[in-house]
Amino acid sequence: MTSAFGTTYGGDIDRSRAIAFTFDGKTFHGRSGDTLAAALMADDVRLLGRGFKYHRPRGLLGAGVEEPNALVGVGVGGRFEPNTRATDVFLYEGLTAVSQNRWPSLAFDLGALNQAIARFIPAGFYYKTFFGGGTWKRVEPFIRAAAGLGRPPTAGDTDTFLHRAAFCDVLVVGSGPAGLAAADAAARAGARVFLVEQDALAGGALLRDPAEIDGFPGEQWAADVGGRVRSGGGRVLTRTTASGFHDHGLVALIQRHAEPGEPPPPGFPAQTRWALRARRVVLAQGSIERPLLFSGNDRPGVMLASAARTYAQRFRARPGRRAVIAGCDDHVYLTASSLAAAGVEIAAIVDSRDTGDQRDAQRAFPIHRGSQIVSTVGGRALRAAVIATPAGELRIACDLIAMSGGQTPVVHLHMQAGGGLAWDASAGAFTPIGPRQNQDSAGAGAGRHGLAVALADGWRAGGDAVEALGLAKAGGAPPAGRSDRPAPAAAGSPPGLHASANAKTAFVDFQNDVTAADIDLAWREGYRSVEHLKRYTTLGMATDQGKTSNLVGMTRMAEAQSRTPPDVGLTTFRPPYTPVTLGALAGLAVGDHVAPRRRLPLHDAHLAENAFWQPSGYWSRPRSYRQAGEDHAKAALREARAVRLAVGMVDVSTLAKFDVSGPDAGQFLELICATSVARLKVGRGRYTVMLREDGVVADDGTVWRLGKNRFLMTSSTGGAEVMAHRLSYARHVLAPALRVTITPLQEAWAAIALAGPLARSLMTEIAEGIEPPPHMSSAAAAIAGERVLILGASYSGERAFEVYVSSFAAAPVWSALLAGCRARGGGPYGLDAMDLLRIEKGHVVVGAEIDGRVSPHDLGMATLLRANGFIGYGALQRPDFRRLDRLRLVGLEGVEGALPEGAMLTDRPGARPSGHVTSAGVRTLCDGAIGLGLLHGGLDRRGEIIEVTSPTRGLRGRVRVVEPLFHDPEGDRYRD
Amino acid sequence: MIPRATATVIDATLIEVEPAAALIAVDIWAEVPDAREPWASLLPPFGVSQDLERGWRATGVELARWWLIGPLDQRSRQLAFLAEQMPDSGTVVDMTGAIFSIRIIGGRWRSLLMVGGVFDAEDPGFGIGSSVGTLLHHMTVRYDVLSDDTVIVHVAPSYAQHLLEHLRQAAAMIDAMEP
Repeated sequence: MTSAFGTTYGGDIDRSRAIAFTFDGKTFHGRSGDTLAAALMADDVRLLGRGFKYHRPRGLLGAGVEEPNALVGVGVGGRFEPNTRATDVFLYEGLTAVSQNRWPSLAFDLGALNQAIARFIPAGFYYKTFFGGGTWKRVEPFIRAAAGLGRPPTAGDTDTFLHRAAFCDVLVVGSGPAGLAAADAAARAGARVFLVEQDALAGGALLRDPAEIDGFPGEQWAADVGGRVRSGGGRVLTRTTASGFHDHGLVALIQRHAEPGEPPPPGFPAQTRWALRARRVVLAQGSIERPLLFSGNDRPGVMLASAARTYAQRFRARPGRRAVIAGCDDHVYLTASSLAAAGVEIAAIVDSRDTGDQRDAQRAFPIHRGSQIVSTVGGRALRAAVIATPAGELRIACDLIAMSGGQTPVVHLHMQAGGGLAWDASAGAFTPIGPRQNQDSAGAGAGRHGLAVALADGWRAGGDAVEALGLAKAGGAPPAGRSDRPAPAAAGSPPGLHASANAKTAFVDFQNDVTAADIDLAWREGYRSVEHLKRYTTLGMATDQGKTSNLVGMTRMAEAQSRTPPDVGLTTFRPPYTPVTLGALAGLAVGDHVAPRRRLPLHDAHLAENAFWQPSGYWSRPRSYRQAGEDHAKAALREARAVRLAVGMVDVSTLAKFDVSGPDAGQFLELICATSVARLKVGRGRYTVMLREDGVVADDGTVWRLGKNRFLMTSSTGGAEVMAHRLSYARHVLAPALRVTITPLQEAWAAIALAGPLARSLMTEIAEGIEPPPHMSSAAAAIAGERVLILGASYSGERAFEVYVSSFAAAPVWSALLAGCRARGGGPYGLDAMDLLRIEKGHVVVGAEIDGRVSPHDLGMATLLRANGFIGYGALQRPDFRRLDRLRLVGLEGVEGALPEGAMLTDRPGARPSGHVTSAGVRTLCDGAIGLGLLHGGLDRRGEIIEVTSPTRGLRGRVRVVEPLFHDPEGDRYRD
Repeated sequence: MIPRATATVIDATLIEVEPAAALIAVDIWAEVPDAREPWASLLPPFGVSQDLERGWRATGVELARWWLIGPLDQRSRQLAFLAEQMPDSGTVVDMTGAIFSIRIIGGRWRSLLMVGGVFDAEDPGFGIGSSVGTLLHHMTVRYDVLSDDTVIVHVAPSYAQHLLEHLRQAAAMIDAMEP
């Protein structure tokens, strides 16, 4: 029978289709719809794993994502996925699974020798090795070798993962009876609904405990609900886990398109991570059954009662031949009926209560009231249960114990969203209260159990959600459910560990091998906080995050303190709910797309010149154009010398550029810039600095007056986005009344700087219709037929021009300039050469000298400043900015040894740092290391020889403090 | 037990690069155009695009800022016309070269723009003529809905190659998943 979700439903698995798979190298055959766990169970494989620490044999405890024992590695190569729950991977042809945490084999594991030394390795034993005698150092290699669950894949991931956003009116998490009813109520009211289900099938508890809803089989009702959700524009996503509930209604969904280790369908990603923003969220994630405490409760054959019913009813895999069913609530009777129907002999029902729902069961099965399991008998398989009854201890032969220690509502997402929890003493569990975001909880996840109750509660939650959105609730009554098996009606408190049981083999946390004795030990050693208990014992850690163990551990801790569990507290649930593959977090942002890549308008032209690319923020810029036999240093020096001796050109398209226009443009720029710019004549430009409101230099650049009411402002590449925000803030907040507009032109204009003693002659030859503008003047012209703006500006200390042209028209201009450079013995230069040239000229750069701490005075720019009226002026008056011992800009001249960038400056070896090297290079036309630095006392220390040291690189040297200007101090070379 | 895809994609989403176009930014000092001004009718409300004469299209990108995108060979004439029309009301700036435009054709463009996106492109209210600035795959973009099966994505040219690669990769997956 086909379900609403395109596949088979419940027990109606397609038994006609066999699927071959391997487990530990042995081939098995399962059926479509089986989980790996179910298929192995059907083949009578009971041993699926080993305990983490003691390597005790382990079988299946659960049937879903809560499974702590049956962790396997699935897949091969780059698709290998460790720590996969065998209960959470569905069979596919060719599935390859291996057990883990055992050597040499699952059946014969030498790690089991740890059981012999168990008394020496209790909870937190490794912490104790930190004390005295270097014990830790001796045992560390062994502990590290034994630590960790599973092994990571050794090959790279071969699949892709998608990130996708979505929005909806109502998100319903969980498709059990409550979730389906909620989705139905919302969809019928016209809401756009997302219904997500971590299982491959919708139905939740209906899959193990079949029922009729509104007179239809559960599967048909589920199909109808799915149809209504879709017809309302919503989605039904199975195999999708709501892994995190974050702020502002953001819920992260992980949708599998392929099972672990399985190649996805052609064209599909392996998984999609949905970032879903829902206006309302209904959490209907159901509950997880708790195990009972008794000796040997980890033996293969001991499992949760709900899991036993799931295997028996949904998968038609008989979990045992003869069962003892133990618990503290009426699930024991439901389980007995269910297993008996599957052909399992019910040896005994062990009910810890004196009374209970014994309707049909009383007549059909042997019942021991007021009783509990003390211990189990067996090796790698269960042989018997020892129970304590009012009449004394009994030994009952069995190969299955189905236990129910009560239901724990799944409140993880509720708590992640900031919701609170209340202790429900009758259920022995925490239930959600006080939602902090747009969430509601329904059904078993809210502590409301039973089919009819869950349906009604889900219907209510769905209706409340749409009402909160302003929609009218759907009419009609909640769906009516009917089951032919007794519904649980009454719960009791789970029995504690029996007095004659061995606490050292009564496991609280199966995945981390935490026993009741470990909890007791932590208590004796003074651990009172539940958070400390968790860290000391590892209770609730690892892949299952304590889904079956947390409350059992808390209860044990509470018993030790003679308190109640709410007084002991509960650890915080954090995302993800279940483990998330790292690839799903990365999405498509891998490889070349790990971050955006920005290409220059002249990218192809640089490629043609054999550019070596240098990341510069998101940009890729030419570092140098290396020739045969050159390293970067040689290439940079050759390129820089060409600029000093002939002419070179560099791509400076990444500079921030802003058109500032309007009648008040000058007034606006006076606010932004610390230098005077409003009185510039048309066609003239000026170097400037921009300060933060605290008086610190934020950026530097140039301002050019292109018309009466039009200016061009440039600033640094790295600060382009920040500058855009600063200008916008100033425009809209500080000066809203000014008639001025700011238009970013960084991407509109490519820019090429031409520099060198032959630059003017080249420009004269190539610029059509104009004389090259003088230094700090501008002119409009044409080059290679393209309209350009030419600025007389130098960043190298040579006569230079910056040519601005529309970005898509830049190539012919570059080619024309390059031809002119070549004809004069020059060529293109990259970032390294540009750095050599600007250091030699003493030009500062954002990120090195402009480091977010320095004032204009520190950089020797005090004479540039206007009297007042610019952003940062007020703060700049603070006396601290005038202290002479501040870090101030100096030049550094190598005396001996190295002059490494970033190195410390010290007065003598071993002294405290008195500054650091901000930029380092070499002289372009003669030998010698030079650099710029920030030094306490600055140029007052001119002439001193000080130490330079970089301990991390093992470099040291001595430098002389000099003026930060090594080339053409009079500035003759950039003037005609 | 995930159902396997069996459908064949027969109408793959097309990702096409638009020809280079002129881009003019128009700003006015007032927050809304003065209806008495002759150019006021050219300028749609914020978040809306509309076609103008001779192949130009206007988009309200901020409350008092518009983009005019049109044929490259008409750039100078349009600039002169606008400057003449509104000498004291605001500014007209040539931004040509500041955007790279990508045309997405196919019924799945809304799903495609949700991949790596943050804006609800699937909202039915985001209809023909709507325009919005948002982020896509960590890049600043602007959408302009031309029809039920066509949208234009504007992006800064430096990001264009990166965005094209993303869109093509994502489109192939969306086409496969939502045939």
